[in-house]
Amino acid sequence: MDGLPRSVGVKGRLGTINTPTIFNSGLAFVQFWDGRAATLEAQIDGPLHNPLEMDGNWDDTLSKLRKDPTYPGKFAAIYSDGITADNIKDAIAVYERSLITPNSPFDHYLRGDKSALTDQQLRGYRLFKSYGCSSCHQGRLVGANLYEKMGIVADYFGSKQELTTADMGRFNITGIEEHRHEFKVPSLRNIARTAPYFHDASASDLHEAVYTMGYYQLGRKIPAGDIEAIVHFLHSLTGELPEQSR
Amino acid sequence: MSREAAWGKQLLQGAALLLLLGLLSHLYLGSLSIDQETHSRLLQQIYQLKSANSQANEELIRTLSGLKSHYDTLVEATSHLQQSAIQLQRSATDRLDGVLDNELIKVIEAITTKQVAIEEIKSHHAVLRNSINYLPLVVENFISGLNAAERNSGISHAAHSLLHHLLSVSINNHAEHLHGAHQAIDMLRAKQNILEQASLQQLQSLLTHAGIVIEYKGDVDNQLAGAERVPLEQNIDRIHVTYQAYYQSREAQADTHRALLFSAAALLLIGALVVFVRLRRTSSTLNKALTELNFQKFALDQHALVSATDVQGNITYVNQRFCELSGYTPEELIGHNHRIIKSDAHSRLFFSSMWRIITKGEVWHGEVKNRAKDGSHYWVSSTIVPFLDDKGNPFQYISIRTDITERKRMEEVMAKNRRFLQGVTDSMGEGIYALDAKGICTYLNPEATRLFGWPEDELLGQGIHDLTHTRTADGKPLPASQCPIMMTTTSGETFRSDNELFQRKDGTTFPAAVTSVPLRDGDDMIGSVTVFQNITLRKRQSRRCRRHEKLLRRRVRQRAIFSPT
Repeated sequence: MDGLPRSVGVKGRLGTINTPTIFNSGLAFVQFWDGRAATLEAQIDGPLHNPLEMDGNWDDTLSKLRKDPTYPGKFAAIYSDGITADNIKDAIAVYERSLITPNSPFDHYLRGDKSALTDQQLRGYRLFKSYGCSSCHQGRLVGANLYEKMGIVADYFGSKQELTTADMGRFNITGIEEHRHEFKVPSLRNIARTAPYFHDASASDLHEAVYTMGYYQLGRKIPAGDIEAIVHFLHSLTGELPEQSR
Repeated sequence: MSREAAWGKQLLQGAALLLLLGLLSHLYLGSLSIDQETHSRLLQQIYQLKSANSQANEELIRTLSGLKSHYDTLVEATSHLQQSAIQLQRSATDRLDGVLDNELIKVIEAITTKQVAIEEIKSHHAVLRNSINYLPLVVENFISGLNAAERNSGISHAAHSLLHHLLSVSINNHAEHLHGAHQAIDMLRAKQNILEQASLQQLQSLLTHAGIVIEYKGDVDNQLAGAERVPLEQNIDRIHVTYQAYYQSREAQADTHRALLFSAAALLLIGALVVFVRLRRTSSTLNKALTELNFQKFALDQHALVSATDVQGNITYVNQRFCELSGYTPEELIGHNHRIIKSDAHSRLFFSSMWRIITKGEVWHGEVKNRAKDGSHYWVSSTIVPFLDDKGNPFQYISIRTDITERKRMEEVMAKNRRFLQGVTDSMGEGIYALDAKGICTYLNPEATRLFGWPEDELLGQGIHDLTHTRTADGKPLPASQCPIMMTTTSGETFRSDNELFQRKDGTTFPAAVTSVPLRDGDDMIGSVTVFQNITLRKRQSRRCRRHEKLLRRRVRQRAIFSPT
């Protein structure tokens, strides 16, 4: 959502991977590209301790929040034991779960408003299904409910100059050879607003991303006209932002 | 009872009470089974886990059989399965002392294994599904791109055959169709050199997806078999069985404890009742005793002077009569030594002997002269009672006294009177003796012993009549029953006579003039007092006088005869 290939952490440090959007993350089946956190609560430990992100620890965070003029009172009002790591995680996770983006044109269409999609978008939707994109990008988040290898049909990483740790995907977590280059299939909701694309941010726009996906994942070379239609369709997945995020 | 024994008894009682409390709380804790709410929650959670497992299985089958176009429900079912296990683990850890720990660990391990398998299935299934969906299209594209010669070479037939076998494989990975598919692929490969460039590309795409279908179908089937092999259901069942056994054993144990607790409570209740009744009885006895004691104290206070002192003789209590008599107020007495009322009437020895007795723990009686505040003296008849502690040492003394000042005064007056009377009777020229109602001699003065010639002690306490007065003046025997002196006691009249005959110890007699006066005490005669004189001399003189008189009378008579007056 920050439009950057890799997000900026403390002291201007760059992350190692393209930051997934926080929107609708509460509906995703796991967190992070490699799924190393099962829940939003568990996810919080990651960036908090990551030296390239917040580079912190719970003790410092807790003492800082306890000295704050407003946090102790606000926590006490909700949690009987006040400011604790678990309560902070809970508060953040609850907030994150509220960050959903409903009522996209596609949602309206699915709910029966046939005029919600343009002809081009409708054609894109049909192509999206017939090319097989919807094999993985399905469900309420149009993705984000399974892992998939990057480069099923063709070798995505073979063409890369240098492999990073992040490129290893789930292998980093499980150590299972089968899981090398496996990533969480990202949600396509609001995809038009979350460039660049892929874990390595290698695609700067949707056209490129659709082409890459068709080639490496589906074994298809999708013609430009079809890509155009699919991109149009993908724009229909942009929903309403929560009030406080507008 | 000694102090040590009492202390030991108290210690024993305290220990027994503590033991009883410990026993009761132990029984109570033991009687707490798993409460019904927890029990039903645990059972519900176990069933929930079971049903979550079957739901996940169902979703898996539904997804794989193409009834679902997305994985959301499968993801939800597996996450629900995991949540159910975590919830159960939380409840079990809280309430079941780790009984289910091993089983739960196994279940959670199984769920994790199953989840990993499901993730694999999803990944592979998505690819498989895509290829299967694409196959008819790629086959159609391939065939439609062939020229007439290529089409007649059996290639299109082989492509159709491949499609047919692969679709069958995708539904049922049967060896026959797999074989057919491989045959078709081999045939297509064999003929690919006759194909034009465009068709060749189509063929390669077709073969790629055919390969994916064969490989991924096998993978998915293997993974599904793997997921089904996960012994999750058995482990959940084992949790159920283990929990039921645990619950029943807890219930049985709790029943035993409850029965014991009830018995203990009943015993305790009976004990309390007995104690209560005894206490009531004791307290009523005590009250009666107290009332009696108060009454006695009241009576004592009315009659006696009561004081209490500590072992040093310092006054700790005085009653009102004590104060009245001594002229001090209680405030002036309490805290002071008893010496405050000591008079100089008694020797140092008197008091030291008293102390010697009471410090030994013995009761002391005595008559003591005390000095009142105003300097006057009073007499008390005193009894000092030492109060002894467990070791037999006095720790306080209670003195009970009666005021005998008046008696002492009377005694003094009487002694003075007696001394006076003694002096009088001792110096009298007459003999005096006193008799009691029975005629026993109770008193003799010195003149009487002298006249009788009997020592005093031989006459005192004797019937004096038989020893001194056995005959009348004319010599006739005189029994006591006819003795006029003895009879004064019965008649109550004074007897006077100049004509009695008393005999001495040596048997000689003398004439005596007697005055015998009865002694009265109210209407009763209690004896008599007799005063007597030896009148031998008087008798002789009187005889001589009578002779002279006779002589004179004769002479007077003769003178009258001879004289003419």
